[in-house]
Amino acid sequence: MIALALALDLLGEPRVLAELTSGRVPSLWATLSLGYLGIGAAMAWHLGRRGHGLGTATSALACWPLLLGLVGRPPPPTSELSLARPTFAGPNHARIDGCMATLRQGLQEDFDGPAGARLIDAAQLAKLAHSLHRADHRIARVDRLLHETQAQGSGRVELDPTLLAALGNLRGARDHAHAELEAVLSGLLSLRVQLGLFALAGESEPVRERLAELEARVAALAELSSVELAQVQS
Amino acid sequence: MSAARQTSSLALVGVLLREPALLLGDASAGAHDDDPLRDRLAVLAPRLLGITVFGAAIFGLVLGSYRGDLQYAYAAIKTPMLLLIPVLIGLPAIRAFHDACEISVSWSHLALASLVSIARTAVLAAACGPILWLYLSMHPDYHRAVLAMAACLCLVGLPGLMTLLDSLPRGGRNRPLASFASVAVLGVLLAQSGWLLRPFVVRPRAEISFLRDVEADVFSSLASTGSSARGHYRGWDARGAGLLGRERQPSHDATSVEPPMVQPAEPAVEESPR
Repeated sequence: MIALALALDLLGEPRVLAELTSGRVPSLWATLSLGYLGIGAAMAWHLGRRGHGLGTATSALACWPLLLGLVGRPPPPTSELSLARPTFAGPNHARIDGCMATLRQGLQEDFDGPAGARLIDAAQLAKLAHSLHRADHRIARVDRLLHETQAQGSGRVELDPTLLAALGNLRGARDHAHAELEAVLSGLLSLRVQLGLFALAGESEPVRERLAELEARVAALAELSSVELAQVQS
Repeated sequence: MSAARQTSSLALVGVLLREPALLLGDASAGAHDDDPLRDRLAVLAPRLLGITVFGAAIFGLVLGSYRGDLQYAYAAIKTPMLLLIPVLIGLPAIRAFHDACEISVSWSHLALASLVSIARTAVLAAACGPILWLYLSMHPDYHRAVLAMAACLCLVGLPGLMTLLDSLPRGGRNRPLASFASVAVLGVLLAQSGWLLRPFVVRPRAEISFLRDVEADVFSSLASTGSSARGHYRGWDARGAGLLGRERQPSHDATSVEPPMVQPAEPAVEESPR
């Protein structure tokens, strides 16, 4: 207060301090402000005692309603901030990567030089892997949705029968998509075997046909998921 | 990007502008496990508040430049309060609206989302500062200056508001209704906070004061302005109707007061020099 008075006097505005302290502010305002700052000071003291930093304690002094969630909590183990994008890896993420790696490895082992690349293009494989990951990602999202709804349903919120029926349909669609994905992954493994046979016998046509069939199946999986989800929404 | 790292305040500002959702982390996980969000709140709250105060103070300095002198400091102090007070007061109401619409949102999640949205608004306000400062330096009319300030606040407030609404969980019933009610409450609180904290823009020859006397509320003022615009002039004083403005209500009715009759002054007789 003394520093403020000196500063205002230095600026040639000594009457401002008098204005601030002359009781122009209604007593209700003063009471509310003092109460707010008092709670803030108590909370800052509490957070300081719990080991939170000076910044957090000072923030609590001014904006304690925002920091009510920190009451009774120890400080975070690290002050470093992770700004990683949330990843929603599907349940079959590792298996898809494994299958595609096996297929690539088979192409490299069984065929030296450009013969393997002529048979199955690398871009073709990458596109197939991308489609499979997308299908797996959709399954993961449906799993999360079902999990959240189940958590809400087991709590205080009561789910209505229409929503329960829609959730049943969604669960069925999810199981169907998962089964299709499993079938495609099995097909990829059998394709790996066919690659070995092709290397021995020189029959390239069955391999291409099998790969085209798998691509069509993955594309159909995406369309089927869309149709089934649309039915769930309706 | 997956590795944890120390983020500077400047980098934090960049994230605020480009991808504020990253600051909230995995919001869906926070719906069930609140601990990561609380840790994140403890780390981010001081820095986001610092960014808010700094950004809003720059905007306040620009507003104070219209009058100069002490108004620089007054506006720079009051503008962060203008952004913070509505959120501090309105947070319980926002949570209640979402609870009523069966959207479960934790207090820490709501607080962090609010801090992110305010900080984003403040950064955008600071970014708008040079443009507004350039306009105010051309000495526009007082009313135009006030309108420019309001336009800037609307311009920067909209992305902040959208950030807040986007940060809240999906699902539930009638989420749009909860969002609309939240926006309405925040809008009313912002208007009234701005009214109580005025003046931000002061006429160049007017007297500088930190706060004006409490005169009812912003809606009374709007009603007075509306009636004045319709030709029923009742003076500049708003009619006290609220808790804080009741004692300030003028004791006489301004409409019944006849304008004072001005007696024509007799022409001064100048004595001709003899």
